[in-house]
Amino acid sequence: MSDLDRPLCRERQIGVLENLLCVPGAKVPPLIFTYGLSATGKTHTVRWLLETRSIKHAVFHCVELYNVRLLYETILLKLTGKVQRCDSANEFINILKKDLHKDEVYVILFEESDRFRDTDLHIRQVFCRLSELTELNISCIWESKIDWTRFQPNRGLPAPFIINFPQYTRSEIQELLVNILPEGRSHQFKENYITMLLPIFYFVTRSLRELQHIAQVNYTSYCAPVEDGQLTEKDTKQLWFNIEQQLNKCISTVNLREVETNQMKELLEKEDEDNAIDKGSAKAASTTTRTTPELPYYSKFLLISAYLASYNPQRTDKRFFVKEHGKQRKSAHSIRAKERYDSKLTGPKPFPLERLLAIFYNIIEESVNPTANIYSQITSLVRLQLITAIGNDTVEQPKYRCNVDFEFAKHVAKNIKFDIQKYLYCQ
Amino acid sequence: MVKRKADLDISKVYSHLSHRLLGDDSGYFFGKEANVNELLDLVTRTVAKGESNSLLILGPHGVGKSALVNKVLREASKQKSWSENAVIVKLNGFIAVDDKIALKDITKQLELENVVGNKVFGSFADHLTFLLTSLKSGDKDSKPIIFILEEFDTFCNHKNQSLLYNLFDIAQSRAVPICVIGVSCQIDVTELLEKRVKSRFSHRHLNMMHFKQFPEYLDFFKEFLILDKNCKIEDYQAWNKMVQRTFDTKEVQTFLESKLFMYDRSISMMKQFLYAGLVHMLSQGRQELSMDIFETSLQQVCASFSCQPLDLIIKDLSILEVCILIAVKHLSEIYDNEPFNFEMVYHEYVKFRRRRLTTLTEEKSVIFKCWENLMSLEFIVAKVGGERSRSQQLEYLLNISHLPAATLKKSVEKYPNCPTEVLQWLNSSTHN
Repeated sequence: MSDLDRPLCRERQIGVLENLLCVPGAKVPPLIFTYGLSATGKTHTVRWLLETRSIKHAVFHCVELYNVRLLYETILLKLTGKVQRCDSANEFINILKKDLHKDEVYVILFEESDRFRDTDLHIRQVFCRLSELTELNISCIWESKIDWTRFQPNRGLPAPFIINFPQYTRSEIQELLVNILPEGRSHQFKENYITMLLPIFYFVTRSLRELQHIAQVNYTSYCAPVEDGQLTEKDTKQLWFNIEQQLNKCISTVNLREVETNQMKELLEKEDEDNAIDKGSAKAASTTTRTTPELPYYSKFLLISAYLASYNPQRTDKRFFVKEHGKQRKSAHSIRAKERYDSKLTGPKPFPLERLLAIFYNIIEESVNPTANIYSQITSLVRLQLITAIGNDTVEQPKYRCNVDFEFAKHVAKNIKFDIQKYLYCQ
Repeated sequence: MVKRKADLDISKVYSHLSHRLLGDDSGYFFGKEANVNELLDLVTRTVAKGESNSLLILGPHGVGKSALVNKVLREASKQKSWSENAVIVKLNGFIAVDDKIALKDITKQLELENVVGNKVFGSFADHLTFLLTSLKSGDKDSKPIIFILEEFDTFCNHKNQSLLYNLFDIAQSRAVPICVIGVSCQIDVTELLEKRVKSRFSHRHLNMMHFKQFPEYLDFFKEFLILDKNCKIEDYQAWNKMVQRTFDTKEVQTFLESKLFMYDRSISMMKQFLYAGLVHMLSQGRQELSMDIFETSLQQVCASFSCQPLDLIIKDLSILEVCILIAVKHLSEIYDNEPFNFEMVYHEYVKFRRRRLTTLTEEKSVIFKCWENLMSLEFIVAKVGGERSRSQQLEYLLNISHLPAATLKKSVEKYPNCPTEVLQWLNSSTHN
């Protein structure tokens, strides 16, 4: 008995695997390689087949490969049922030869087997040829996202039997999603829901796991008017109007699994009120409200100064921050140089502490005493990883680099009513 | 037309042939009589007359070296004096990664664990000689031992090559009659030996080659599929006749010659091909081999080294991910394969989206998640080492693309229901 259901839409792969592993009296191929994107049912199908056909098997996830003893001992435990100590491939092979029967079929399933490439070569070779080395009817199934051509070391591995798990087609996804939804409504109702849902999200992701999550999260609000009795199951148009806005908001948080919690819902509602005037900003589920810590007053200015210091070249500081800077003549050279320099694309540059403080004292309106308070706030910014300290600071001045992106800095600047756009060298 | 009397049970044929085709040579070997005789002669001389010998069997992958060794040992064991006298020790370079482990393995195969007990030996040489002289046969002479070292080139990488030195040394001196047979796919493996080891080696080579002519190759094909009396399948003659008939047709012969013989003449490829064909036959319930079975089986076999898997994966991605890949392609073209980071790709994508296809989202975090997905599939790889350094923001890390532009183009054109704007963008990087 197994707790897995028969995988849907995977009939062809199940057929192939049955032919490989379940024909009585046949020898199983020593190496089978299954590959496909995530959430395509690779592990599920194989495990379902192994459990329903009662083939003795061991499942091993290769993230545990950092220690080979774990590898050998886990597999031995699952295949022989006994806990034994095993340090090396040699002992492993000997124990397998001793404890397993020659006529039974055994299968070892390795999940995420692309991690095999980080281990020693001989481990890979052993598990490719396990059947040959132990003279048993044992098959290794390597499951991975990456195709086989990236696995080859210089010496070459024996060629496996390759099974591809393609991504589900649109109709298959529809069928699968309808099955996932909870009981209680008519089949037609669920189908309508999924037919409305899919076109919005299909462009962004085809992963079954993500679509499943979205469908489940929004299902309750979709059903809500029907539960209340306001609409019947057949009023598809009204139900669609109801849910449309919510789904549109969802699209900016696809893949991020954020829409579910209550806290997020509250944040979204608050954003809606703020942005009621600001029409058309689909950035409703604002990225910045996600992770804005509340900073003290000076820290905000320090952060802005750090951002300016990172993204403006040093020679322009004089122009932005000093009152009498004279006129700057635009030459052809300077125009071209300005075009080439787009720091938004190349990333933040490091700056010394002096420069940071110079800019800071400049932009802050009131006069500030350079107490230790300021320095400790810089350290706490580093701790929050909003600024990174780089380099060896015992010899020269400590150097920093700003870690926040433009949206975040803009948000902080808006908070303290500082117009950051005026001070940026390039937009 | 001969009417078949009984219906052939294809699954029985499959289970019988799978043993032959999947490398478990339970008695099956064909051809290469000269090699077999030479090796057999060598081995029997060691056992019968006490001569020490060493030999290297060399040849490319999949030509049948290990199969040859197993066949010779099976033939030799039919002789009378063999089973009481000879001891066989098999070592594989992938398992015995170290000389110590190799020595432990030898002890175990010679079944001398209780004799060795807890003795501590001064040197490797002492240990080995002790082991070998402990085996005594009836008339107080040491038993002849046959050592088979598979993946011989890995033994050459051990420290000081002490195992090899000692084995060859014992083979040269007359202490114990041993025969050392090394099997390797590296033709110049003697260059890897140290000088002192090389001088003790007898420089006997047995070179094995792939097929030179197509007719021999075709004969092998037939031989692999032909069943004999012992297979316990009724009506195997009908199967054999069908096999002969199929392989005699001109169409099949030209197909095999142009598609298979031209690329890879090894026996292992042949076996894989036939196995894939049989699996296909079983799944479709067919009784006869035919051209389309051969074609599917060729596709299956080529999947392990062709670019076709990349095509399949790209067809499985979402449109957003495909757009990112196209943006990467354009960037690489414009900037001559310079490394790029996420921000640059995002910039390109936004330009496209604003002008052509505004139904897609512009949300940075969603695109970044798709970017991470592509990185996990290794279409985009970080430039330095592959590890993420913590000192830089992830969006600004430099990467290079591992996806050839031609493959991308081919796969996107085959993408089902691809929006035309995306296809147009693929072909020209200007946004008009």
